[in-house]
Amino acid sequence: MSDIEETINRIKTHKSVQGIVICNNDGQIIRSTYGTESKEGENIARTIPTLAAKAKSTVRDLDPNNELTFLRIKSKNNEIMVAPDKEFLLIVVQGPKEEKKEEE
Amino acid sequence: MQSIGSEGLKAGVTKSNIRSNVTMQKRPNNLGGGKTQLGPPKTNMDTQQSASDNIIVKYKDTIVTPKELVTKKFLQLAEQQNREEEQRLKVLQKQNETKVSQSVAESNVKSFYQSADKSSNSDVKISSSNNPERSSFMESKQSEGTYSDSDSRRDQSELQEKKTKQKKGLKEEDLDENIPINLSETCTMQLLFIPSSFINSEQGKKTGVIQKTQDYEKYMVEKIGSDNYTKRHAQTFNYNQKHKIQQSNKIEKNEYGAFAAIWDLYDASVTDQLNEFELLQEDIKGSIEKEYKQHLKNPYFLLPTELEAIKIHTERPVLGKDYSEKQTNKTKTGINSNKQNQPLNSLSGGYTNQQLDDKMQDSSSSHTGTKNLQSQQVNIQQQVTRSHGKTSNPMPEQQQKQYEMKQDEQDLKEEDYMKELVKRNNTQMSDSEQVIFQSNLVQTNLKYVERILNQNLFHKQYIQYRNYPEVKFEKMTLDEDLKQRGGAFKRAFQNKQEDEEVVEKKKNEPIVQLFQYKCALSDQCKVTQADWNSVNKDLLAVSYSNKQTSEGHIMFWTLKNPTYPERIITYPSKINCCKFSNSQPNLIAAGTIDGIVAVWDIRRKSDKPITENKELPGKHSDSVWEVQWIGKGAKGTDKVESLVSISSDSRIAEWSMKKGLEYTNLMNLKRVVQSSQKENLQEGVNFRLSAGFSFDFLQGESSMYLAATEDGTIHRCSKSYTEQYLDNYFGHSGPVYKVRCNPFFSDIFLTCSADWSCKLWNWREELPKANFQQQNLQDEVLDFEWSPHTSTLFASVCKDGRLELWDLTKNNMLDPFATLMPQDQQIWPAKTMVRFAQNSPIIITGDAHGEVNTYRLYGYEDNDPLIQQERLEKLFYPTGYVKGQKEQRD
Repeated sequence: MSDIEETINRIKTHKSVQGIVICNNDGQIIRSTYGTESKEGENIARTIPTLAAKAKSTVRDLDPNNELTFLRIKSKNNEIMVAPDKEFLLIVVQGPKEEKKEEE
Repeated sequence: MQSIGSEGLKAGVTKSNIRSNVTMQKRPNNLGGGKTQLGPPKTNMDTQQSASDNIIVKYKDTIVTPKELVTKKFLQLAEQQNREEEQRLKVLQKQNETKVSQSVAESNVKSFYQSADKSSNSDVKISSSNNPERSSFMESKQSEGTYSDSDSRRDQSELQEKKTKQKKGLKEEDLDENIPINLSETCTMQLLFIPSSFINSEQGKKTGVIQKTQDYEKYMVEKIGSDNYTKRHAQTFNYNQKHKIQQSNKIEKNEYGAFAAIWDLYDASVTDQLNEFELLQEDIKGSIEKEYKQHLKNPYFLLPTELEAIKIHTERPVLGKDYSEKQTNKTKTGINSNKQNQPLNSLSGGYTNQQLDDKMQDSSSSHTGTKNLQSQQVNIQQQVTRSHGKTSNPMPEQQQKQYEMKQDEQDLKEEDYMKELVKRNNTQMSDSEQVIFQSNLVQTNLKYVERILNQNLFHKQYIQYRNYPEVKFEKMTLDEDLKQRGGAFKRAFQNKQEDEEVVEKKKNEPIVQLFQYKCALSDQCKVTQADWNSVNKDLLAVSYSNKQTSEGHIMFWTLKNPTYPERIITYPSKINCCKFSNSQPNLIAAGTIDGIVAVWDIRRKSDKPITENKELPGKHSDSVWEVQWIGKGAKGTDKVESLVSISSDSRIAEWSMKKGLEYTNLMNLKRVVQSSQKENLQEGVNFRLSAGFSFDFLQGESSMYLAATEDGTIHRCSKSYTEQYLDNYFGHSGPVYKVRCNPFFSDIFLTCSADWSCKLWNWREELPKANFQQQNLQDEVLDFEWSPHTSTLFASVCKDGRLELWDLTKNNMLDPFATLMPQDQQIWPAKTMVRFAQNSPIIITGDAHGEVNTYRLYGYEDNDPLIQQERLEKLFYPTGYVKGQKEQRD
């Protein structure tokens, strides 16, 4: 359990991560780093599950032995990464890569 | 009266006969098939005429009415009624309302006959009863017509006749007269007429009529007793429908739409194939659950409750019983004692059930559900006992008060306990979270996410790492896929030509830092050694010694996630070195600062090593500086590998893994003094043994190895001799930290030492062939490594934090062709480790602050393994090299 918490924290504090949302298949938010002030988290939880379900369905339609493991939506402003599961969805939104130079 | 009746009978007169006779005059006689009716077929039309009939009725000579059979009394009555009727009829005639008159007549007749019944005999009764029957009957049926009506009319007319007769004066003689009665059939009504047809036999054959008839005959025969035909009644005459209004509760409707995709069908077909046994199991489980739930509703259901709760509860004093008694009851379970106190209090029973149901509905996970239930159970019993206690025998007030106080105390106690329980339940996560976090997939999904995050961040670096040409535009191209797919493709691309531009650029910067393997934990550690896995070329095991907690860590880093290791193994003592086994890549051996040699199987989840020589004999008494896996045959090919370790306790030991760790001493390192220095020594050699730092087996010769010691000498030893050296190499003035043979040309080996230099030797020659020391280097060289792809390339790292790349072909072996060093003001932590990657031109360094840096090396991409040895040879032996130069002993 604590490993999971740790991992979530690490992802949270990752430089380019804008937010994490864990929600169930109906769109109920279980965990979100967006907070309740901005509607982003709710919007994400409302719209993404349907898309993920469609993707799941499509993958399995093409080959019933197959299943969806990961879904990435790369857009101009950010990248939304969805890891689907039987009961829940893990959604991470990553911002654009900064062109930083590694320290010598 | 009766005599009259019988006489009537004797006369052979029945009412019906008379009736028919009477009307015979009027109606034509139609003899025909069909129903014989008691009276003539009547239509409504006829009845209308009856109105006029009532007035005059004649029958041949005499007027006969059934009224003759009636007594005088009734005659009087009849008279009265007749008068009334006449009046009524007249009225009705004018209005021409037949029906009313009919009904009136009916009722009249009925009443008349009813009155008649009282005094008349059975015959009369029958006749009278007949009438009303018929009258009601007639109303609905048409075929028989308004028979009664006409009858009634006739009756009326008969009454009237009677009247007239009376007027005439009916004498007794009339009674004896014979009355002839004629019977005749009524006319036939045809309901259905299907005439038979005659057909010529020839024609019949043509048209198939004969066949039809034959078939029909057959059918008629078959029909009897056949199963194909059943007798059935059919309602042909339907009465009028009655409307009946019904009301019911609203039928709840629910719409449900479902969509079955291809995979739905596939899933269904898969689950159908589930083992029957499994299905049974599921069923049984389900039914058990159901039954359990059912039983839970019963307040007398015994559940194992919390022991605490029981204890608290059983301490309650119960009125009317000795407290000591109660104590003894405690030996049984609390439930038993409570059972005694449970009167069938209906109130509490109802309360429990309802509460139970509520609890059951509210309870989220089954675990909390039962907990709630248990608390509920206790509550129930508390309730019950309380009530019982209070309803017991009246106690003196004092005791009562005491008791109540105690009760309150107990209540408080219980409440607190329950509150705790509830709190405990609530502090756990909501059930959905619980469920989710218990799922195994969370971990993997999170891992993926992390990796992908990093992929996005380090995309450019990854490409460089893998030696893919940089793509100018931002598109994610095939490279990504190939990179992810792994080894086979990588090798194909490894020698790709880079863009001209890129090559130009890189010439100036042979070393470019890509990324760091760094995490929070590693920040407090010092990197001691690292090793690549032979199978998974991206897996890097780095051993750390934790400065803060004095523990040792081995962290397994992978390219996919530079921000956090895939796995961390923690060991109670600092780890100095680690090495993957070649033949069994899941084993990794490590040596610690305590002298322990431990082996881990990384397939296992636990941090505990599969073997360690903690308590075993032969354990090193000082730090182990290096461990290597040595195969029996050619290096790495033999399945049975043994561990060899070297340590500061001047022992080189070999460990075999067959049974735990069995050791054999390979060598005791003794201090050897160079002969030339012997004269300078004034004092005796203080310690006969010297600490060993590093060793390396010569390629191709599994029994010969080189050992580097603390006193600056390198010894060449053999496995067969444990006390004697084969050769000694003097040259370093400080402890030699590492000795390594060149992977291509095994005669050449390199050493690095604390005397700020590296030296290159040929083991067949006693003097070093080359010395590598940079001018501005004023610090120890802590580690070095030969490049696995280029025979003339090696990298060294120093205590001042610099990384040097030496190419023997360049700079005349005087200077490294590339140095990565701190600028003027910077102070870098000491680099303690350097490694080349097996599958890409990457250099890894580890430093004292726990950072593992990744550098991309440019310029050494195309390496032809065949020419490497040659190259090196040519360098040192331009005239040609002949093996077999005599070894020179000291």
